[in-house]
Amino acid sequence: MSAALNHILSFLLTIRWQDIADIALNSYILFRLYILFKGTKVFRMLIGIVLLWFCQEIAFSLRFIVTSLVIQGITAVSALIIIVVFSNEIRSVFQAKNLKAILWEFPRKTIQTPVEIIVDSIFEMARKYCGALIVFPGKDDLKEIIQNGLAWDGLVSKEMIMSIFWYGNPVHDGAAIIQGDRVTEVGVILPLSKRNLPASYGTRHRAAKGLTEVSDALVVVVSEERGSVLAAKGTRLNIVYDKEELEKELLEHVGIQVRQQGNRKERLNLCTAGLICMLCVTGIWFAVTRGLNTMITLEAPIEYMNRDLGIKIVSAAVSTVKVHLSGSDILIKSVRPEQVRVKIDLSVAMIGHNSFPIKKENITLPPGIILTKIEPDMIEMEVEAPLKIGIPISYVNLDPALEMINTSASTVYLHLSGPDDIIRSVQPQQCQVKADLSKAVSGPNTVYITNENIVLPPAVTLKKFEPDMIEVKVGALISKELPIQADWSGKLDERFILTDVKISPEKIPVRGNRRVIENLSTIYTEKIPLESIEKSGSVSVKLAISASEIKIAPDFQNKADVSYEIRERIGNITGNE
Amino acid sequence: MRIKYKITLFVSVIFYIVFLLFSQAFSQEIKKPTLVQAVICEGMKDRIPQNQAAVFSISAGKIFCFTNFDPVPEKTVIHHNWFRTDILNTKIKLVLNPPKWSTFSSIQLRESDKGPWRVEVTDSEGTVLNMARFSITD
Repeated sequence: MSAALNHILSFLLTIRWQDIADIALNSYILFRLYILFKGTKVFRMLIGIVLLWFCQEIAFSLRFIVTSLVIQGITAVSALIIIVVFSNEIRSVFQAKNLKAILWEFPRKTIQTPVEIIVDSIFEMARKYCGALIVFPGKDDLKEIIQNGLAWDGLVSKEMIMSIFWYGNPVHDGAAIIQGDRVTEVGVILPLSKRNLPASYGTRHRAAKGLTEVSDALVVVVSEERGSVLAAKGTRLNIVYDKEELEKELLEHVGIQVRQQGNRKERLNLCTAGLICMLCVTGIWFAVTRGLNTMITLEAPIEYMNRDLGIKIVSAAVSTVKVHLSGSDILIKSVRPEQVRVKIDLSVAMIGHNSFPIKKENITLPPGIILTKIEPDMIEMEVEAPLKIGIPISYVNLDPALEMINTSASTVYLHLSGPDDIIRSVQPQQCQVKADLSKAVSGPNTVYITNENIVLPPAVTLKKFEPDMIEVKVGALISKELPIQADWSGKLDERFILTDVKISPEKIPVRGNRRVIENLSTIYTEKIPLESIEKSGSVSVKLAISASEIKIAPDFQNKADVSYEIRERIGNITGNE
Repeated sequence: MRIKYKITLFVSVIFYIVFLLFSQAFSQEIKKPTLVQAVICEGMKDRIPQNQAAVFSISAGKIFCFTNFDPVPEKTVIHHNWFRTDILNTKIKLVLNPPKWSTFSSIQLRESDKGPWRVEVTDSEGTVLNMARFSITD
């Protein structure tokens, strides 16, 4: 017992508010269709189709092959038949009523027909043997059935009705149509019944019967010969003996309830209809959504949304996702692959490697389908800007007493985006990356690169850069006083000997990196050619130093005066002990 | 009285030790040889340097570094360190004998030896006593 209760409870918990709204909405639509088409032939036809469908299902379950096929065929074309054959009635239902009446109003006449006046008029004419033919239209449209009507549109009164059918009146032979409290048309020609009628019935009776055979109108006939009153509706044609009977007939036809009991009965009918509609829709809903549970796997392509135009997907681990679905047999069979969509929001994508989890929220499914599994549940992708360019780092604002020893990176890679034509024409020379070393101290330093350190051509947007941090090792410069030595080259004439060299200044203070300066013991001049030297003299010559590694003290110049003494050689060049 | 005697003895010992240390240091200082001449020349003749110069042609084939020490207090060693640019090319150990001593070292010249040279004359402890600069050219 408790298991059954648990089962029911768990089942109820699976029902969403959308399901309840779904059932309620469709029940109401069905109920409104019933209200609109109640009493018409269309409604009867619809009932017939439903019965046909029901018979087909029974025939199918009993394995009646031909019966099942025939009924299936008839049912299939029935909808078309209804639309074609009953197009006028369907149109009249929707045209005659305003939106309010279609959506929620119940069929109550707002303009009440003055039944008493009409009944009095009819029996007065009967007493005077004045023939009359009065039509009270129902829900069917009579325009296609009746002919030659003369528009009248007069307020119903006893005198007017009697004057219409007075034998001197030109329109007294035709029928008068009364809708609500007005006589809308007079002199109307009705279709005649082709059935066999008693010989005592004249043309009026045949016309009344002819109209009621093809519509739901009520037609009242006053016999000119016998002074009797007859009411025709549907297939019946009855003699009405007294006013009360005719009044009741008219009241029932125009929808006004005669007694309170009738009102209750009508309400009960409506409630029953509503309940049946709800049961039908609930049954259909259960059949569709809670039928045989079926599972399928679909492979859906991944759609990328909100992609920034400044990025491009270089590679993605997968392009499709396997989606495992379950649901009722009917719903699962109706699922089309294009209805299953996997959407990934790229608004948060960053340049570089990205991982996006694929969750239920990323997958769009038709209603009633349950997602059971997603494979894979994660997508990996590489995202890049349209242009990646490597720019050498310029180090600025370094204290003159310091020098940069080494860095963790010499190039910063810029990910750039912008209009295609501009991006294609960007040259590395147009970009600059400056690392500010104003706060650098001797030793390792961490320098951050920010957007402010990067100069780009106009209309180009910086999406990302890497690295955004570099390690810079800075060392203090050391000073040292080094002797200067002349660097002679070429060949001195063999007649001479260069005996003495004096350099001014003899020493020069230099500053530079400790590593360089410590290993340096002499500053050499640039090459001094010997070929043209024949006598003592002096020459001013530049010092051969690397300006990038060694700095000369500010008070000194990058040159030296070299004085030399020449004397003539005595004897041979060589002489050994 | 006894304590005063001990203090006097202790101070005397300290003074003696200090005196010994200073005298030792002084005695070491004065034992170093004195360099009076260091020249680079094309040849040696009768222990006299020939054609002293600052520039030598590769065609000389050989050059000499002559050093003259006076006095030489005791037998010791010196070094002639031949540098081409700032790179040590040859290190030659030479013995000095008292009371005075002249000595020389030489290198054979090759085509690849062209460039600025210097010879550092150092004592046994590596102290640079003098430096002679010259060039080897075509």
